[in-house]
Amino acid sequence: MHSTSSVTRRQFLRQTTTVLGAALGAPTLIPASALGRNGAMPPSERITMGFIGVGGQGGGHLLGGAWTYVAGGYAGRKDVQVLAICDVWRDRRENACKKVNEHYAEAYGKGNYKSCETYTDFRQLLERSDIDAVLIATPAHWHATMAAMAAAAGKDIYCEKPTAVTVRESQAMLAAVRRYGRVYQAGTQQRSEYDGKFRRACEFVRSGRIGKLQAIYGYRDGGGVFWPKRFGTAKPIPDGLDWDLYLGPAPWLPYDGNVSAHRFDIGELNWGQHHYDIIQWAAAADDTGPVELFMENDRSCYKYASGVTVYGKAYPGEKVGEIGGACFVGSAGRIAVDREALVSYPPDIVREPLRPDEVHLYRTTSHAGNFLECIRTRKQPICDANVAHRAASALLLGGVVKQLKRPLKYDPQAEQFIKDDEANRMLSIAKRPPWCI
Amino acid sequence: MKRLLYLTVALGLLLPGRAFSAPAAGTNEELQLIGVLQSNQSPLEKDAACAQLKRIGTDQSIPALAALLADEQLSHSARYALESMPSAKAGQALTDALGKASGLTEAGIINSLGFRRETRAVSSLAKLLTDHDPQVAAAAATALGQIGGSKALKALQAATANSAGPVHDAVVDGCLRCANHLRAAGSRSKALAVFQQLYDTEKKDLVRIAAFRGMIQCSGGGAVRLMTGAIMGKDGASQTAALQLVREVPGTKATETFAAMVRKVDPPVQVALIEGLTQRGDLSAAPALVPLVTSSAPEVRLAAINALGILGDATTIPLLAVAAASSSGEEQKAARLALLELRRGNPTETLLRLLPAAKPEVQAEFARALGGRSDKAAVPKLVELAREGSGSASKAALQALVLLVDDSQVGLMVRFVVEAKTDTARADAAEALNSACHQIQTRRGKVNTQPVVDGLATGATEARIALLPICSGLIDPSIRTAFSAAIAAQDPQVRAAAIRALCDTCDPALLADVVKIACGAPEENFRTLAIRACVRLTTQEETIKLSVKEQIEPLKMILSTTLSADQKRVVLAGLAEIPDVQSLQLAEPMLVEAAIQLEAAKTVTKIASVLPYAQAQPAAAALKKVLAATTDADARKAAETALKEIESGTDYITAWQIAGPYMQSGKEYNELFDIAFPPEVANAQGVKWQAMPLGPDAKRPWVMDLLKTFGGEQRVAYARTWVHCDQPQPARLELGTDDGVKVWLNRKVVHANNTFRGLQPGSDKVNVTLNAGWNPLLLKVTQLNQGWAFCARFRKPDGSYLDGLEFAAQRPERAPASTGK
Repeated sequence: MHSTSSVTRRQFLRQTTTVLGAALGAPTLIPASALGRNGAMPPSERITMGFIGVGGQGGGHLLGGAWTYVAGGYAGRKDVQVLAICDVWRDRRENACKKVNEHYAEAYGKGNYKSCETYTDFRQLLERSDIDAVLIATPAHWHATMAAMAAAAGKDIYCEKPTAVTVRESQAMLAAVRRYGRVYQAGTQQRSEYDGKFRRACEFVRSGRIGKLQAIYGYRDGGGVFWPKRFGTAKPIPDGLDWDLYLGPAPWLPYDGNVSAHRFDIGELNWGQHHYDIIQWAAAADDTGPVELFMENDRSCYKYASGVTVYGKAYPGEKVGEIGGACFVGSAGRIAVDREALVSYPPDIVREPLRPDEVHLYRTTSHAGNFLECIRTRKQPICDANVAHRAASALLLGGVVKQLKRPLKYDPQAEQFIKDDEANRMLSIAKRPPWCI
Repeated sequence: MKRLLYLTVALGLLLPGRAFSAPAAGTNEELQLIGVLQSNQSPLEKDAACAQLKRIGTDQSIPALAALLADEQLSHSARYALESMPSAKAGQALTDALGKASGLTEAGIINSLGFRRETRAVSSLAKLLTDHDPQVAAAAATALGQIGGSKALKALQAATANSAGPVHDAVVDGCLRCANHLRAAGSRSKALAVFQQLYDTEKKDLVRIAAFRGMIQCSGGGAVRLMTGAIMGKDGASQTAALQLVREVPGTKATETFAAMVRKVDPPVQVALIEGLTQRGDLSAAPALVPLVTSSAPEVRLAAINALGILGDATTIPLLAVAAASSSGEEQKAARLALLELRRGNPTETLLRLLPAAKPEVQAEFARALGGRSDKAAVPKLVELAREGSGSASKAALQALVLLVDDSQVGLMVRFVVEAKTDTARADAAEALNSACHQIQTRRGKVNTQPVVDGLATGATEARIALLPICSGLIDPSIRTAFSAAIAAQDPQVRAAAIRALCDTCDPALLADVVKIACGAPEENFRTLAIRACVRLTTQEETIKLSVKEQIEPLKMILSTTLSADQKRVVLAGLAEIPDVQSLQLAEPMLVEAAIQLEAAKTVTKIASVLPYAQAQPAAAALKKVLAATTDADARKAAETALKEIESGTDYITAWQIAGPYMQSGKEYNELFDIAFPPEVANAQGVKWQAMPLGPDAKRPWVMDLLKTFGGEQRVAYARTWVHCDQPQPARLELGTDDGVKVWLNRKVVHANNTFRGLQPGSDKVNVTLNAGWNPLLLKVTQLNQGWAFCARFRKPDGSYLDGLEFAAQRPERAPASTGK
């Protein structure tokens, strides 16, 4: 039997000390003298992170910014040490890394922190045994592949949405996370952020405040990716861009100037998962998915086995719901929610606070904080891999029906369309080697 | 023909509905696509055919696809089609292709075999585990793991001993996958053996965690024992795996075991165990967590309190209440939340039963919990506590009542104010009454004001003074009457309180009363208060919607009286918020008053800069007066900027016709850029041109909003106008578009910018020549998503104003200008 020495101090605390515990003061096992400057946790107790993709989204996570809900970014947190930054754009990774190191020099003093390093190839970042967790904010076609590889490299994972671009890779991502017992948090922060509006809406719906839930208007419909035009005239690849790593598992195609995070998207791939994540939560469908899919006025729609119908469009005349939200229609009223507002008809439905005897859902007020807390305690995050897989599936199945434009039946347990070969073929896309999942 | 074929198939997945597929024999369409694959057509055409066959390919297309598998350029395209075909022949074709390619191409074929779980390929793949190319060997290991089965597992296990680096990692991953397949198939003992071997022999913690996790999951009834040993032990990998699975292992017995262990481990592990027990949701764990609420480790106390809120019952109330009363920060917050969320054992009844005998600080926590739990049954006991409890408990009870009382109980809250015996008690009661009224107003949309009015009519002076501020937040005729009475009161203290409260009102119907005080009160301090109140009511209250006339009239009346400089400054602040020529006219005369000139200049500039385009003339005139009056550098700079902005917008073209939207299935905005739709095709028929309304932004109506007219994403639209010029002359066309733009002047392309961006007026500047007569101008504007708009104007080549141009949205009757040579 291989003998491993007793778990190291750093590993031990990393895996078993709560963030809140840290916020209360130093855990009793840590001598006060070990505390870093400014009351920060000493380097050995911080969660070490690598960032893969530091464009607008990843840069916001890393350093904070106008859009982000993580004030000051992960780099600004006292319980995190950012050790590595990876991006296929040289300027991006170097600029981000410079800012992180400057921040640490200011916060902890020169020589008192481990310097952040840059990488073009995320595999080198994953090889670093001193990194606990990665945050993936790359173009969408990379997400599931990278998440699975990060899991196999023993990293905990925060992954931006959409968490997958096909149902099959989503399943494989989930399997990898489970195989290695990693903590996975999807970047569908609406379950945690925005003053709990989404959680409250789902609690009200699941507590029966609108009577029996009948329909959900999701404001956005299905999405997916397409197989692009692979051959054409190549433009010169800009200095400082690794085009091959940008493409990754997507088909090879000559550089054409489009380096968008969503260049292969169709439909609502970018935003859809936010909406379906909340729909799934309210419908108590985190372990299941659609059973029938159909098109209505060019928008993909579906039904759950419970009979609840989900329409990929706005509730007529209801503005609330457009920003990541939904409108829930029940036999005794309706509730609409998005990042800006939570409203109901009649209005009392959402004005009365949730009573103790009503349905209470997973509560956290910080999506990033929940991720870090789960890294320490190994408990399941609010947007765990299974939650992500099912929300992504609802979105991606909508993408299939949107392309086929005919009704489909789906078995959410077997995760395949029923007697429909053509639709089943669209559940996967072969990846460009060496990438596989 | 070739182009057409590509357009049809390039984005195969995007094509609209096709009949339910998987026919046994190929269709004509399939035969055509096979023909493309077997021809000497370009890779572009063949790739497009593969994309189509992905959806409709049958056994008949497999040989043609298989022939491309070894083709470095097209192997991926062929795999795209073959990998998801259900036919066994597709798997056979992929298996047969092994050895016919090399490097990444072969790795791709292997990946497809793994994805399909092709058992027929196991022997071949096993041989590739020792391939000299590590990418091929690693791909083979992953594929064998995906396929699973005893042969694959045996090959992988053998390879663990003689592999290294990334190949070894892939081999181990393959073993884990195989073991998980066995577990899923019910072969637990076989799976356990694989996991055990990996746990015993592998060095990396991440693998050993995964292996131990598998061991637990395969151990059935022995899982808990295995986990117990690991959690109590010293091995990090097994401990981590075990802690993570605490939430998953089923059974009350398991809960009992974990709960019994929780006091025997060190604090960090205790926290993890508590979190695991909480996520199990098994209430039987609660008693074991109770002692941890008083742990010496703060993180353990916090975790235990959080857990008891979810798992605990009414018996934990005293403990949680003491924790809430004796702690601070996160711990106190958690304890209070736990008291609110307890669901079992009738917590409200317990809270009420324990309330009378508890210590005051604990009573306060009970009261807080009773209020937050929204159970109206608590009202009588809370009233009692509010009346008879000690200071902190009484105040907490009042605050709890705020959350519970309804319209019929406003009188109850008023009585606390009227009957209060000390100033502090009265202030607490008034604060609670105010909050209660606000709470009822928010929930029900109205409040029963009669008890407040009655209290004002019958209460002692102190009570009336305490009740008047509450009237500021109430909107009701009875309150207006009460205000009138109080302002007319003989008692100067009551009158002063009434005026102060009136000046805080949110009722627009009281504006006239406030104006009256602002214009005529003998006390200057009350006048100042009332002037501020007028400005607030007319320009700052979000809930009050007044017409411009209703906003301006009170300020005009105030300005007609004698005012101090400070009072005028307040009025100017109000005028600055009313974007109208009338407010401009009221502010302008104050530009000559030295004491307030700066404020007047700022006000005039602010109003002028937001006036709509139609009022550009008076706005510009007012700004010129500012520049003439003030010497302050910042004020002048602001006025100059505003003036420049107004003058710069006056020559944008607003006469347009538009046509669209145009789109094409599968084509994105940037591809549509070069597709010639009818408006840009000479003599095309059937183009429906429509008048373009002015843009929605009153400040910039020359920004033409295509999104409002056409909506949507991934499309283009055209806009046209005619420009008349008396004589040929060079000019500069200044454009702003969201997103890309192509421009034809006199039917020739003069500018093309295929991009995506927000609109920035003048972002594109193009030097052109205008001919004498009418010059047709055509724009093509692309739309990616979100905003979609354009603006354009002609200037002299140096950017200065170009006079003498005329525009016509419709084709002028006069002949267009000759294109010139």
